Amino acid sequence: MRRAVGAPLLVTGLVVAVLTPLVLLAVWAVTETWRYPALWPQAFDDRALRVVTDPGSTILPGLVTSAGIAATVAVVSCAIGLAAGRALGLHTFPGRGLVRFALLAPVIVPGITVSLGIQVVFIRYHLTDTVHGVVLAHLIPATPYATLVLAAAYTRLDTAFEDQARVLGAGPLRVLLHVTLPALRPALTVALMLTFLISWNEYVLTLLIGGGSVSTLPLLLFSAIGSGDTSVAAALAMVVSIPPLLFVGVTARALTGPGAGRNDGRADPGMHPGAGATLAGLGRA
Amino acid sequence: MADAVPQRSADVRFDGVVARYDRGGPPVLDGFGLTVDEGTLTSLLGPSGCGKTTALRLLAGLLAPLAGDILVGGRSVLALPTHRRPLAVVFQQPLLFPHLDVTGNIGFGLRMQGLDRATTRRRVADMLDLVHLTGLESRRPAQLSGGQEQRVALARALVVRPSVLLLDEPLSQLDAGLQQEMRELVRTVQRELRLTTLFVTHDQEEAAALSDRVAVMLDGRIAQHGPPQDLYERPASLSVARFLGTANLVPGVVREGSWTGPLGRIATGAPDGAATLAVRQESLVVDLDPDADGLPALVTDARYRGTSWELDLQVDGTVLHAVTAPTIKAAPGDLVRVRLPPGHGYVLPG
Repeated sequence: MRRAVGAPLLVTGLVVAVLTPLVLLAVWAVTETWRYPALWPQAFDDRALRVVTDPGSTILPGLVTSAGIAATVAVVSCAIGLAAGRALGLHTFPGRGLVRFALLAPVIVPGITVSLGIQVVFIRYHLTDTVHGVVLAHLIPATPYATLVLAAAYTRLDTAFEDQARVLGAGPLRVLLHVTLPALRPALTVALMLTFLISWNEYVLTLLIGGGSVSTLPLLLFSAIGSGDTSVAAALAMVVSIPPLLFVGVTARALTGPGAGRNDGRADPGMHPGAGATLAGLGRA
Repeated sequence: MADAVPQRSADVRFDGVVARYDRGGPPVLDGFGLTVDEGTLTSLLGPSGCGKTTALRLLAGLLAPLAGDILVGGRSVLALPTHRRPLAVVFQQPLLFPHLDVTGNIGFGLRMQGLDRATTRRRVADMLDLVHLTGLESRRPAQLSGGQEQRVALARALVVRPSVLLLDEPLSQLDAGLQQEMRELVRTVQRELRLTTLFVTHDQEEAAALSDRVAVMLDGRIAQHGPPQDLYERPASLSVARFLGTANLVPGVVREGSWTGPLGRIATGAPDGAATLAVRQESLVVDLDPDADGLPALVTDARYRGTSWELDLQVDGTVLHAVTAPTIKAAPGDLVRVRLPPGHGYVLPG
């Protein structure tokens, strides 16, 4: 059997591409002076780190706001995605193709255009400058992803397992909790991760809908960059990038760890669609 | 073991049930009626597509009838959602939940009933004992053999103490040896628990071996319902005899109380007109002496079956299949005599 050389190379390349900017950020975060044409900073200090970790600063509340909004968006969009994904993945109905296409619309149309349109509507319903308004706005780009990922998983779900649970005395909610969700777990993890990150990284929508009263990390980061203090901006960028990386690391372990590998496909390939299959299915959807 | 006894076994009655899968399509069941007596194992036997699985899904509430009623223990269950009906189903596939181990799978129904841990553990242990799976408690479904998976599925259905057990061809995916073993297990358990059981199958051998009563289902209706021997000895109609396929069907005519055809004249109570004589293969008596009593027959093929010979005989232009003792060594081309002892043919109109 030939050993795959391409895959390890590709993975190494990806890791380097992802980590190099982070290393640069880390260096910048502790730099005091770094003038052209030096390859290495002339002087280091921990000023930027102190600014960012100062409990009195706006960073900590920003972190909490961002995490709260992103978590809410992830849970709500996945709840919608579970219902909508079931309809798209398991049932045929007139206009299904159109619905699939419409779901992609927020992804295709430039975010700034969508945001301006949304802002007008949100102002009318007094949703601007509020956290729930921002959550609602973030749901617009997040829900299509959740729906498409879960629809792809639903197409491979064997509903005979749900029937089996029902004839053993499980009501609709229990079937969902004890049979359907465990079966969709890999896809659900991917969907939660994806929607969390969409909200976490969102800038334009937060700026326009939050109107400055809702300060998430990306907003603080942009203003730090605007102020020209590279060291503080770099330190803040670390705060923005590290939680998602940890988050992805933990979930990726859950997806590829022993639990996911246990399913050798003999019993039921349809019951536990793996994460890889889920992402592949997303391409097809 | 007393713990495994169902709370109450109940009879099942289908009453004029109409069902279809596609809106506007032809009904799969049209005026379907069947009674399954309390405590019996009744097989619903029919070719694929006859509607037997539809009947089972209707009873389980996985499908709603367009008309008619379904009663369990004398009470209509139509208003009850699936999970409130007092029954449990084992499907063709074991459908063990892959994220649960054997204990978790068997205890699933008890967890849904909200039973406490101690009771659940005790009842699951009883079930493991009943289906001979003690020691495999923490195995995952992927680590079980096909037979073990199906035994877990059976235990998982029995542990909830259903009033009615529904089996939808649960043995058809197993190899012959395991099928035999599982049949015995199903039979033993069913007798021990006196559990009303409806067994859907297309395998007549299985139905005959297992059942107290067999209901033959053809084209969405019960064509015959009775003890297994009756099916073979007194098929209710030509279509039942054709479906069973174990008898020679000899066309002839009935006139004034007697059937006339290639096998001679046989007295019958059947009405005048075209009629078919059903003759079981082992009822025909073959004599190697060409001068013996009976009709002259030409052996066209002879197959050795270990415990018997299977002969193809040509009698007056009709091909008959006969099963004889292994001592009757006939070869293709031999001229033999064949006769039907009195009382062994069965005349069916049509």
